[in-house]
Amino acid sequence: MTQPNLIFLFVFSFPLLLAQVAPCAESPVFFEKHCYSCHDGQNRKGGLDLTTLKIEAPLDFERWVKVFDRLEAGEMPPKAKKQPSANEAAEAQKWLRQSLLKAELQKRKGESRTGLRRLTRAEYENTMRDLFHLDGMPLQGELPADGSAHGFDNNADALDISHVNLAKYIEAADRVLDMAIATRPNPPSITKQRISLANSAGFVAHVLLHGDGVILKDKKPDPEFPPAGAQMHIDQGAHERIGSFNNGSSVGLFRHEDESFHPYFIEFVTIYPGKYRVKTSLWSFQWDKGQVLPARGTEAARLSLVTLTGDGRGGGHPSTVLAYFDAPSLQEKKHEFTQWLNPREIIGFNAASLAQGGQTRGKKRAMGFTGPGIACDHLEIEGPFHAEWPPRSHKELFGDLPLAEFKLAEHPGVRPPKRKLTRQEMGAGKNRPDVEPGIWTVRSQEPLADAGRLLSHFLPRAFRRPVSTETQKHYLKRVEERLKAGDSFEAAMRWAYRAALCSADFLYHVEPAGKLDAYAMACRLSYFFWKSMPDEPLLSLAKAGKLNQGETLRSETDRLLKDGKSERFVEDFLGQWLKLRQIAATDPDRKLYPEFSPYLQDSMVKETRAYFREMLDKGLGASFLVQSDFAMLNEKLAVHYGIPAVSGSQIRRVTLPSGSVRGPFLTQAAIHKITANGTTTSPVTRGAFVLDRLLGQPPEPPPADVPAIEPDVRGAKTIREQLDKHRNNPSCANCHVKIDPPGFALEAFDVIGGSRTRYRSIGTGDPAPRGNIDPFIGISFKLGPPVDPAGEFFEGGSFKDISEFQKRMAQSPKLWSNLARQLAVYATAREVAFADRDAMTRLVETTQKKGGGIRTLIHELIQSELFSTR
Amino acid sequence: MLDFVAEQSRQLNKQLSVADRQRLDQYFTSVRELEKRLKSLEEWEHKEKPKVAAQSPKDIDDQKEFVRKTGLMFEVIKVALETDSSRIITLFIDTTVIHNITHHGNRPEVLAELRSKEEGQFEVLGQFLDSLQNTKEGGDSLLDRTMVLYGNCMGSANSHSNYNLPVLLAGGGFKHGSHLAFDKQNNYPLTNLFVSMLQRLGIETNEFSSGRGSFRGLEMI
Repeated sequence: MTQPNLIFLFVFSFPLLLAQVAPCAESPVFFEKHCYSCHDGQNRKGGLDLTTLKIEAPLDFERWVKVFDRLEAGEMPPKAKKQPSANEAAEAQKWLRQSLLKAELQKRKGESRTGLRRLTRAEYENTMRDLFHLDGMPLQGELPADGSAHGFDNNADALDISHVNLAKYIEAADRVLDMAIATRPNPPSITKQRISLANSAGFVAHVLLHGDGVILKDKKPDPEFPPAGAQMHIDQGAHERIGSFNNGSSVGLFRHEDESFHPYFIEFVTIYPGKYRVKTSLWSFQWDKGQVLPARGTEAARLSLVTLTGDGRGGGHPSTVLAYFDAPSLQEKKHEFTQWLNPREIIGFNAASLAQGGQTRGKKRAMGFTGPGIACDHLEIEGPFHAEWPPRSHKELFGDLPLAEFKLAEHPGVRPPKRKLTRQEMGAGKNRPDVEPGIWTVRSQEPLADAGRLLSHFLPRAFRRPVSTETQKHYLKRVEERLKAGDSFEAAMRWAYRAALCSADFLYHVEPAGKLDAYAMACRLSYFFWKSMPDEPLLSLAKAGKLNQGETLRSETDRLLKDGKSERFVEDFLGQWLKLRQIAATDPDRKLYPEFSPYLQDSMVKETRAYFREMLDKGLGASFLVQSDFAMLNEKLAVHYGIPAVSGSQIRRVTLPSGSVRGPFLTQAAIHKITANGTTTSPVTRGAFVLDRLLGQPPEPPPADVPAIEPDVRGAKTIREQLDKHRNNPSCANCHVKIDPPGFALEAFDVIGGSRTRYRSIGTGDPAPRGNIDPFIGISFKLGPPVDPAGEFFEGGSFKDISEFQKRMAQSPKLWSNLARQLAVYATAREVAFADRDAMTRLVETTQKKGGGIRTLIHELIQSELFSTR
Repeated sequence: MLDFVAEQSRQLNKQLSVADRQRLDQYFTSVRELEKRLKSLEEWEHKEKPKVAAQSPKDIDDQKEFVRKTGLMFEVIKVALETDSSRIITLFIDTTVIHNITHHGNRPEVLAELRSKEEGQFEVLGQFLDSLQNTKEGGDSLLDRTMVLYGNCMGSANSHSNYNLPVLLAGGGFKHGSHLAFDKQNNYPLTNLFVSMLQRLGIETNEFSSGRGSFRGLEMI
């Protein structure tokens, strides 16, 4: 007796649907005919009840968009059911599309598409750095983390603000002003210091006694400090007093850094922030029980910036990697670079290309050891260098007002400006501060006039747009009040500057509704490519009204992308789009992946960034996201990937041997590491990443009651066997028939991105051949079951390995549409609306017609209405 | 400064749409919140502190006398609690001087020395608890009104293991006189104790960090 019930239902549903949306007469019949039998109140297949879904409700609206997408893709109704005629389907889609557009317009009701948002952490730091020309001022680390919406942190929904943020902004403003304001008539003296790697109070001097390194002169053991042998050197202190480690000889090191061992050049601890010139001289060698022989190749050393915390508790201080440097065999290579140093920062060292582990050399110490070593002749630090004095940072605040000594007697009733005592805080640092010249500060003969002038220079720069005279008057009034209350001119102005840096005008992106004005356009461009405020040339173009011209936008885009500051874009965009920020989220298991090292991880990240940069510079198309004839490699990566003839630590473009699958993001180690957990891989995680990040089709989350998979590294079962249910259970198969195949293809790569044909296991298995793994690394893992990288495409057809998978995926138009979408979301700080879809499609079509790949895509995006309206 | 900053930012508000105004409202709320906090911090700074009759203790210079130094700190803490100078106190007992012998490697002579040092620590702890017990406040002893949590972040300093932590809780209005022992392989979370302690302070919560409920076997009286 089900028939009467069905009719009963239809009679009720029909008018309900009419009440929700303005229909065109035929379409509700379409849903009745082809959808309700599964998607009604009774059956609710996939949790969807179309009869009660209201298009105006925000959550329901999203579901209706999904309905639209599935209809358009021909995925619904399912192939097993009766299919609508082409005409029926087209009519239904047209109707639904119009309803969605109308509902979206309703939803927005006069709101802008991009919501009001504050600066992200990165934007805040870069804006401050550029505003004050303080290139390396550390600010991000002190600010609370931002959220994430639609994949990026620059969206209004990701950027809440609380009193915690505000308290931190006030602190940060104070620190910046402290660094920016000159407190002396002359710059700090430029000093030059040469430091031995075995500097006193350092780890290296200590391990030399145990034979983890040797002192070398003229590329031979230094007779004044023989290598440690069966008789260990004792009393580091005595050797330091004699000066054994500072006699100008080179230091050869056999040991990679670890939890107990952190080489530092601790004799120079930065006192004055600023630019320093750093020089070092490196070479490599093979050591054989007392003999120095040619090395196995060019080794690599890493220099890092280490911040001393002063609690004397050991070596693991917060640090950032500066760069890797080549150490060629028996041939000194001189390296030189300019680096911003902050107070309490020192340079750290690591013999990065040597194998980790192997702490002791054995009973005969260095005299019984045969193996590779990296030699450092010295490190030299010179600075700080200031192109002018007072520095630019000071001039942005105080212009050309002269500095004079503040004598209390000359300023009755005025409090002297506060000063912090400059000193060498770290005992180990041998460099000393200059003698403080008393209290020096700016002198103003006409404080109010000067204040007005200085504010009219600073405020528009800080707020990135013209500031009304009324606002300037308010700030000026406060300066006047501070002066009357007994503040020095410096302190009174500082009050105003601090207030400006904590105001919403500074902290927020201010954009008028509708079409962006010139200043907002300039900011959109500079925050897109530099994550920071516009520079003078860009601002001038804005002032001159040229930023609404296509040609100007084009040339400015090129200029901004060419500037070194665009590295911030590469880092920030990839960090979120490809989740590179998560590169260090897991530590690969030491037993399974003993060849993993920080050098490899750092190289992985460099590869991905360099590849994106190459795509930008050469205007490569979206297919290069998954397939390529070149890769960006250094020696470490090349060895890891099994690609011959690449030497040295620097990343460079390498033409791949034919048949190689390496190169694009899809087959880069960084991506493989980010989508694995350090011990095992999962086709589901990797498949979801490919679908979401590369194709723009994120899968639905799993049903709530699916149990977690227990990874099994004993070698008994492969992950693929454990995921069997995905294939055999129809309700799982629905989604997993799309998610799993890319994941299966990527099973060809392990958790650190190496190629594999068999899984590594700790338990059962066959002995593993060494392959490219460094001979000094102990191998205890075995080879377990074989990897099966074959699969079937959801759309039909199959692949037997990653290479076949790659070739087919490279042709997918979704690569283009997703790339466009990611860039649009990032550049406009909002999600792509349903109404914007046509514009996005046109963007891609125009790009493909013009050629020039991602470069053209970016140009087209910037010229589009999407970019130039709020 | 915060008033001024809020005032200036209101100018911005005028040009915004409804949804944007709601977003900027978070900023104004933050400013007000911060103002309130700074004000109460300032009030605290200017609040009259309790007058303490006790003499200023003389510090012990010899770093090796860390047991006696600990005892001295306990005395200061007791005075602080007694005069209501503070209600929450954290003390880190620096055992660097005996660091070497905590890595005893099971050598009997080292274990003996370590034992004597640790017994010394417990002696001064006992004296501290006694002094709290003997101080009256209202109808209770100071110990009844003070939760004393004493423990170590390592179950074994010898191996630097962070499991099987030894923890002692005294006072605070709980039922004492027992040893609550749990599974040595799958440790019961210490954070549940923190939940109980928070509840004892009158904070209504069932969670703290990884703790998901109050401590099993611990009764409030």
